[in-house]
Amino acid sequence: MASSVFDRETMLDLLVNVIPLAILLFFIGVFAVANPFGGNPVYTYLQFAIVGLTFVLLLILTYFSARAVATDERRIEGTIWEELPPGGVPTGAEGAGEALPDDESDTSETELPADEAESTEGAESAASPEGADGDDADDEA
Amino acid sequence: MAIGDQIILTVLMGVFLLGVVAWLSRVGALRSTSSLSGGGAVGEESGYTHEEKPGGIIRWLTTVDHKDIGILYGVYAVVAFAWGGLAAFLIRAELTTPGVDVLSGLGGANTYNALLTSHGITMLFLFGTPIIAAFGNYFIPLLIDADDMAFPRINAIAFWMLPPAALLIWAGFFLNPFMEGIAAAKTSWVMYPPISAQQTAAGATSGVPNPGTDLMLLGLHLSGVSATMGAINFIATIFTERGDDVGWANLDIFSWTMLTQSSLILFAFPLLGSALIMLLLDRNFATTFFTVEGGSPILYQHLFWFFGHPEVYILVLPPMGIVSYLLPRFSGRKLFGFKFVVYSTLAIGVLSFGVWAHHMFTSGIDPRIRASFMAVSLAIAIPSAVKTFNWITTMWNGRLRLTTPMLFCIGFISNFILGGVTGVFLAAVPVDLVLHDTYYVVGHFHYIVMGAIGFAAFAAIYYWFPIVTGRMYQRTLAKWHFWLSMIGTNITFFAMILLGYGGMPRRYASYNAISVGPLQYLTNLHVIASIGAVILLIGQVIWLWNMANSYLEGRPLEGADPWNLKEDGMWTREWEWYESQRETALTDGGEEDEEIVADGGEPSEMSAADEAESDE
Repeated sequence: MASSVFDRETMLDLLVNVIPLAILLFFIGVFAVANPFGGNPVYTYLQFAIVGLTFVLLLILTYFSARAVATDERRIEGTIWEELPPGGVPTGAEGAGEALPDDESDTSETELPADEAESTEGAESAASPEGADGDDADDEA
Repeated sequence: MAIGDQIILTVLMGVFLLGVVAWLSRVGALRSTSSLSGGGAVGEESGYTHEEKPGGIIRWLTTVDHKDIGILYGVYAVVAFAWGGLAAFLIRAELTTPGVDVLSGLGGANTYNALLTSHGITMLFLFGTPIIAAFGNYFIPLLIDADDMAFPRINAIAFWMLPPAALLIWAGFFLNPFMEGIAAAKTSWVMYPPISAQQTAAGATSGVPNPGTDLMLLGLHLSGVSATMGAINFIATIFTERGDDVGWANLDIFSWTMLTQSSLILFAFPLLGSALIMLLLDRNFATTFFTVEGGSPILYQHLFWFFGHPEVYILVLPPMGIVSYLLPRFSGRKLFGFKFVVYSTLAIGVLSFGVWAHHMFTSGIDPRIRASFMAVSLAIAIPSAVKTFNWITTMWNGRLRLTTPMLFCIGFISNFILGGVTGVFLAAVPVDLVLHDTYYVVGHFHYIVMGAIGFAAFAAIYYWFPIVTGRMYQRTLAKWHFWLSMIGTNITFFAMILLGYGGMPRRYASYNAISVGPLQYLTNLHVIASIGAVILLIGQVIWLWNMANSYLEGRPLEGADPWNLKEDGMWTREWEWYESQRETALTDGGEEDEEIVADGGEPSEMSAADEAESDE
């Protein structure tokens, strides 16, 4: 299960955490190569431990969170998403409207709220409800 | 006093307290012990009705309903915000002249230092954390389709620890007029020893330590316990109380950030508690945890900042969640890269524990260790920057509606970029060595705490005001509030950045004797910063008036969708709940009134709505 959820889409989503991981890795390399302050049994150990431990913890959290999210995504794909009515998300499934389209853009683009919002049909209502600010502003009691 | 007298007094006090308990239990008609006894029937689960909620003040003193506790947190935070804001205003007033002039009749530099300390601690612990808890308590259970928080009573206890915490933290100010030996703490919010272990009420470094500082430390500890209990509650709620169709993939972004924030609290606040206890022991029992000849003051700094830096993210992650949650509603588009925001939030959670010593670059710690903390500090900039790009991309080509919540969200992004970029520079050791302890740092973090966190809080208040009150705020006043806040924030805190470049040190009540830069240059910038503070103050007074007046007399909502969310397919659970509440209230006997008040359809508020309407 764990390996199957780490598909291309999930890995792309994880890119956001790969970058700080790469930065940490880069500095570990730099500290290993360039060490202008010399070695010290305590401080050198601490130097690598701070960056290394942070790297490992971030890696672990990223792995488990990605597994949880991707696994749950599969569950939703198998239930809610396929039943999604054209033109919007089911009431209350707000997160699905935000989370899922990232992965589903190739198959269900026409169902996305974003596309709906970009239609010219909605443009006229762009000013509401605050478009009437001026009118409502004198409501002060 | 003789022992016999003391026993009699104790017995009398016991009888009195028993009488109070008996009276409360009768007056409030406290019937149910269910977690929903506060009438917190959510959604369709209407097994409990609002009739179980006692009326008047008893309701607020005894409630375990997450929505009521959310409101209590909110009101508490506003009171603290007023205290902290007025302290800031006095600080800015004093700094308009190079000498100690404005506060000279009120205690001079000592009062300045006390106000500075109180401002920092109040804004971070008594305003920042509680205002986030306010939104979390009210909306997390609604957003995740839970009946209530996992532990409603612990939720209430966590809140009720905060008022005594505030009284203790501010106690020095209250007691000083009556007791000469007690004064408000003057330690600054970081409370570094040795000064925090030695300072007397008069500000001297030898003599009897100021008991006002002890009271503040105890209050701070209490607020930490409260925050920890709240965090445990949020974690348990989000993990165990989610509705059947709410999974990790479609959990809303605000809940994600609250979950991460609560985890940070769980790991960070115990460190603060430990450090505070050790500090109290050093002060009162002659221990040597943080003395120069003992554990050393640097030990305190490590302990404090191991808490202190995650605290920054404890305060900023939920506001980031709020902005991520609100922006799409007024952009007509889904949040760009929802999972990017989720994963980067979690990344910040982990990385925030690996950066603490960047606050200590100038303290003489080993350069190898400084290099490591610089590396992690630079790495943590990435997840924050990712979010910024996500927000901008969400708005890109969107159908923007510049409502007040949206304006505050955009203001958040603008200020966050300024505060964030200035922070990246500070992460670099060589730059920090120059700018450390100058106003550059003050400007940097105020862009975040006021310009970003404060703005997100205002965005959320305006966005959810209709749900909580059933009324709409006055929109013109709200826009005045935004623009005054935006302009005031940027004038005040950009001037501070420039002051920092000029070398102006932090925490100085007077600057006529320093020689770091041209005095006129520093004075002018201080005056500009203070003008910005006045603009900010005017904006916040307008906001307070708007909230109070609109709550009492604002126009009742005509529908359950004041933001036209349905139109864009952005209808979410909390509004769905609100709609069902309105419908339930109608069938409960509100037929004669089309405009129903929210917040559980309280009969008392119903009548308030009627009265307000009849006034119109």
